[in-house]
Amino acid sequence: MEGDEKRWRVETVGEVWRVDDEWWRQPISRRYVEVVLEGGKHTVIFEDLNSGHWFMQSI
Amino acid sequence: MLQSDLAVCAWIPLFPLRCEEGRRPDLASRPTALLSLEDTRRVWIVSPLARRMGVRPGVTVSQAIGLCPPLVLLEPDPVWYDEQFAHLLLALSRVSPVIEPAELGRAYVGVDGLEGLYGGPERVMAEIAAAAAEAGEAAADLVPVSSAAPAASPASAARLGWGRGKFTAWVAATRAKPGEFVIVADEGRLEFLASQPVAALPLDPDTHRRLYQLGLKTLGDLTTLPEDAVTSQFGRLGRLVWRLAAGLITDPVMGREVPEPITAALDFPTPIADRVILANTMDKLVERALKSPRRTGWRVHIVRARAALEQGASWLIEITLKDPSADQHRLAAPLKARLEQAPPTGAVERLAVEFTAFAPGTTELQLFACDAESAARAGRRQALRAAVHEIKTRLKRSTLYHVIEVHPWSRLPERRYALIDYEP
Repeated sequence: MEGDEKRWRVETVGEVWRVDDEWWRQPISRRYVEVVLEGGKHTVIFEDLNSGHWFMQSI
Repeated sequence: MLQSDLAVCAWIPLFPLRCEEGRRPDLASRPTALLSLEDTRRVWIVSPLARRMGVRPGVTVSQAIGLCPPLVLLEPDPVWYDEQFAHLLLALSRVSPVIEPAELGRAYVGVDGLEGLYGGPERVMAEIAAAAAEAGEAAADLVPVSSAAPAASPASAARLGWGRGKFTAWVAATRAKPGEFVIVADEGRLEFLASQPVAALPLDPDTHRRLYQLGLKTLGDLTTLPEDAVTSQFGRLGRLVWRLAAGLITDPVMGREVPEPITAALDFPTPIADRVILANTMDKLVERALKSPRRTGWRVHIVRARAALEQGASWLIEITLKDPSADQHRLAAPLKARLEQAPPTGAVERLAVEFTAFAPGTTELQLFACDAESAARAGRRQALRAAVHEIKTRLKRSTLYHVIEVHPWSRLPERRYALIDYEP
């Protein structure tokens, strides 16, 4: 997994879920993935299905 | 118990908000709301600008922001409001010894006999207005240095009402414009009351609504009904409000006697010259004197320390606190500073701390002071305020935010919380 200037190795992929919301104004469509990084850090990343970009929600 | 039938009501609506505006004058032109003390997800007090945009007390923060996006949300600072109110009470007590605090921002002044001292009701009202303004100036002096613009004091927005009994005075104050007064003379009292809206009655919103639904708009409308009929509809409360509306109740202002001086003393088995021991003893004596039951509901205005020295000499220091306090540290600190500057000239055989003058406290203060947890919270808030001030001074801007729960149920994590500027 790559960030702005960092790279992390993903050890485990946990739960995957999808959120579709606010279809009545600016639709939000995301695919969330819970991952465990090298060193044991839990984080949640998501893909914005409208733009195709990936974001890190928390670390 | 001191009491007075003739009353003046000094009322500052939205007092906590006015206190905040005193610290941050820019707030006066912005829609503002204070968060609830018990539940920070709800708003407690709303400024008229925010109210105009539909924000009401009790709505959730998310609703409030939805209704009014530029809304400035502030964390409440009850200790600060209480201090400001104590300033007002202290200033009023210089005009009359009969002072009855009703709630934050509303106090009654007993004015029986004051006409002989100052002149007619207008002169007495002018004295009270001047005292309120003086309290405002004193409060403005205490505004943290971070506010560059001159602060508008909450007391300058005081509305004053004169009448026989607290209810008439209160209704008169609600009719007054900010900084002005309304006098209801005895001969016009019943007529005045009859023309007032039923909203002036001390009732819950549901009962007010019922009165409106019954077509009762003014106190006069209410008193045209038989007292028994109102009592049968609204019970004991109905009887009370009917009698208030009819002017049959003239509830006097009930002041309290200022307590006699309170002394706490310690005899040393061997005379002490060590300043550290003397300072520690002062701390303990202040703590002991504060615990006196006579002190309850009062703040200390003048504190003294006196010592009996070896060979019959004595030592005395007296501190008049600009901001009367019931806080041990605030009382002991100036005594200890003076001890350092001008210590006793010999060893001390007996040390005493005396509270010789008091300023009225408020019921709110007692609530905070009695509750140890709240007191600790207030202390933490004070420490936090100092730290934030330090950070702002160093960085020239605030980088601190308060996390507020907005949509805790949202499936989008970033929607669950909002950050608001932390302005302690």
